Amino acid sequence: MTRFLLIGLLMGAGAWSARAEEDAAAATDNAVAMRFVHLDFEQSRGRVQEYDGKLYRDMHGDVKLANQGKQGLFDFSLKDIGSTEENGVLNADYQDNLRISAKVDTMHHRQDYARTGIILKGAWQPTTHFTTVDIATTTEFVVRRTESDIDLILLNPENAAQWLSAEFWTVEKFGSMAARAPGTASGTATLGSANVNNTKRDVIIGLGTNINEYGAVSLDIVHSEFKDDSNTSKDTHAINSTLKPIFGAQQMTGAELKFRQDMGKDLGLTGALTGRQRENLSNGYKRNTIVGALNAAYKARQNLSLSGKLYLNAYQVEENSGYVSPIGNKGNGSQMDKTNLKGDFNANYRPVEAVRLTAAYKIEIDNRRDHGDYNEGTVGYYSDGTLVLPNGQNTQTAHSDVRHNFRVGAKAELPFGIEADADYKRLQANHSSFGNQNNRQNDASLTITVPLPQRVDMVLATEYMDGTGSQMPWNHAESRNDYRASLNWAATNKVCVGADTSYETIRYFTNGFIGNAAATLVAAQTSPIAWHEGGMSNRQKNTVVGGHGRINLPMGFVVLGNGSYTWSKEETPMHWASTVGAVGDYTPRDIRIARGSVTVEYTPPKYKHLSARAGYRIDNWVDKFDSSNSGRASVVNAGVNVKF
Amino acid sequence: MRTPTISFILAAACALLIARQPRAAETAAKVGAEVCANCHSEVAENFAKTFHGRKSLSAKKLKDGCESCHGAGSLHAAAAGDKDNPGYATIRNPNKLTTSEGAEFCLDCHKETKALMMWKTGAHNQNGVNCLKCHSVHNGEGRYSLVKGETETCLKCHTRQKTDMNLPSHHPVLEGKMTCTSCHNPHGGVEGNLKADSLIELCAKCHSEKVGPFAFEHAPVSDSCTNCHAVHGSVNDRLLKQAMPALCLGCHLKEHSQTSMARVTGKVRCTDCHFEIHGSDRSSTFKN
Repeated sequence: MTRFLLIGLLMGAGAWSARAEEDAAAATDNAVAMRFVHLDFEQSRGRVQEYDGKLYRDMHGDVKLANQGKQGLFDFSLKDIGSTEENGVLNADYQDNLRISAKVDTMHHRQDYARTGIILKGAWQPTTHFTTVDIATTTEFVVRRTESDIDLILLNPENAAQWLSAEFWTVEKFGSMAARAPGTASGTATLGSANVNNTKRDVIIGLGTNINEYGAVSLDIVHSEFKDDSNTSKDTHAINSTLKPIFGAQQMTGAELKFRQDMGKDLGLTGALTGRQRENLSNGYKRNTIVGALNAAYKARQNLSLSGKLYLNAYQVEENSGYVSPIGNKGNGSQMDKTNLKGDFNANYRPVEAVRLTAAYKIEIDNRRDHGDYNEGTVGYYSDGTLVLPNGQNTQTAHSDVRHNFRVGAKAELPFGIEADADYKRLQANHSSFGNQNNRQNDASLTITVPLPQRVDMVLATEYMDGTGSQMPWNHAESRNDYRASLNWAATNKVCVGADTSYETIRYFTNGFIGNAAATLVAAQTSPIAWHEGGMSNRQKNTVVGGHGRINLPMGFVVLGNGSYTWSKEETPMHWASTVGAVGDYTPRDIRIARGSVTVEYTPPKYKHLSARAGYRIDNWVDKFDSSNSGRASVVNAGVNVKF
Repeated sequence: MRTPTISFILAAACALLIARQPRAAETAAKVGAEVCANCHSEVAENFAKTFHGRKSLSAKKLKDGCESCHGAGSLHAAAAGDKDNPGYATIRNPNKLTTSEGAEFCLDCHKETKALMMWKTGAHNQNGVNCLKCHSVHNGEGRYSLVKGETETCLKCHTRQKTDMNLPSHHPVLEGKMTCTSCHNPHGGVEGNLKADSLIELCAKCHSEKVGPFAFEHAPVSDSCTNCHAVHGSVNDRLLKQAMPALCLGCHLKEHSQTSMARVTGKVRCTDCHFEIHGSDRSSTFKN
């Protein structure tokens, strides 16, 4: 971070500033900000601040430098200095010849171990069976992720269609995560903390040129490496069992060719061809992939445009027949090879200026080879009492499937400035690729935008989806209802407010959720069958309400605020009279998240280069079933900003 | 005496009318940005702070300032705001163009840009969303002159994704650590609107340890990450579409048999044991 700051300051303060002074038209736009920050939190930060690991202590600062002139332009910014989550951006253009952009960004990701439970005799009971190693339910697991990117483009000043580019992208992760290993006794597991320390680097070299007045081609060569340097911790309860992570080192090399060509005024072609090999250096397995795409867009008439796309993605895995794992397992000799071919055809027609009609057809063909099927080795009953003997059913991966997608849509500009947008899609496939996928599906949506007085926009939207899958003896079905309403109001410069609300329900139906004396959900012969309410295995309800506003007050004051409330519920309701009591739900979730902030800014009318800002933000996460996930965090900040 | 006076008045009126009309085949000439700013002072002031405005000091294509895009302005300026004057409409106004003409307006300069290689056949262009829906040359923010911030611009239209990002488990887009363009290419990509040529390659950029190839693969993982994950947001941890075991039971007919109730009530996530669910180099049952 220090190196980045020094490089940016040198470049900005030196070369560009000196040049800029010579140019009468040049201008600078620099700023420095400092602010006092303070964080209060209660209970767990794991969910309420999942992506916020800033050190809210003492002061944070920002620096921004920007100027431009006849030689080019320069931008540099470094935000949240002192927070341990600094974010820096640098952009520099030298006339029409050279563009440099660089970025570094740090984030902390908290990923506490995912705990769940069941409703037993009317009360929620958490997961209990782990043997923990050196951790508690309150242990925080945090990974610090630093991403950096440098992009260089060298342009031919006489022909901007000719360029060379180079990009260097890196992500480094360091910290700890919750990890599991199987215990010595069958059906037990050990939970502990594992070290995270890995790096991914991508290098992309590219070049591009025009091939005639209306066409161009580009080539990118990419090489990527992933390396894991973490220390593993041994599980003392199980021999040959290590807590994670131990990720295999990987590398990938590929080349991508793209082209575009206009064939006259009305027809445009684009396409791409990619070849890539991804190798796991720990086991010697390689995945070879080829991707090809050819697209055409044709303007048949002033009010009719057509497009067609062909896409092919084929990969094949080269297995390493000599590989034996550290615990003595011989590597799988048949990994899935797959070819995916798609054709996508669209027509857009405007019979009159105010109406736009769309029709589309997409065909998708998958072919899968060289993979095995997972065999269901135990006996089980369906909810209707049908007995399935051991090895009587496989969890199959479809060897081939063909999916047809049809879509029609209409968009219309109605009186009083109202816009309506309706869409219907239909999926028909010969069967599902996997058991949890649909092979028949309907999607319908309607969006209406209503302009109201004083530059208020109201948007109302609804979507409905239902689908079924019938690959195996049981049926999978799902449906989704979604309703959204939003209000965006920019009345005058004095007041600007907006609101977002949405409500959706998702229902998953499966009748394959079964049990019997020997199966999982039942402990004893006396309770043979577990069944679900109406065949439904899972139901989700999500409600989001949000609003934001900005008010310009007299004497240079501005007040900004925003807030949101999210209520998410998930149920897997059942009626199961087990030997330990009635089980009413297998993994319920009830999360309520409230977020809000208010900020006051003051800019003295006579000193517009100065401003002061004070703000308060609060986030409250409530897990109604598992209070160990609940937490509240509030942040106060107050500071000044100076432009020069 | 009356007749010559009337004739004189008529002749003078004709001369005035003729003087006000552009002469046949009169072409506009460049007048400079300062002349434009006389009437459009607020636009000029905002434009100077935008990326195009700043770039106009050094870029050859923008050396004529406003007239680099809007065309020579002498006739428009001479009309002095009179919309009945034919010269008034000689200025190029992208807001008055059709969707595809509006895109061509920008592509005059930007078609050679690497990012716009697939624009013509991309989803936005095919659905009538041209440059001006997302970019504002006069008031845009940042290097890409967006009408709002990088994420807000997309979420103005894509409201379902906006609400999904408020769900308990989500990518850090609203936290500002990612943007929509971290995964999507709004200008058109090889595979739909993705930045990579396939979904699995897109996810592999940040999550390559989950992609393999592994010695023991989990087929739906190799097939597509969206078989199990809802990428924009979910009620479940780790962006899972459904809670376990319901998610796994959607494909796996039934859990393997257990005879101990302690295991049943104490253990409800399949990945509590089958931890390496994306694939393993050690165990064919993904337990290690």
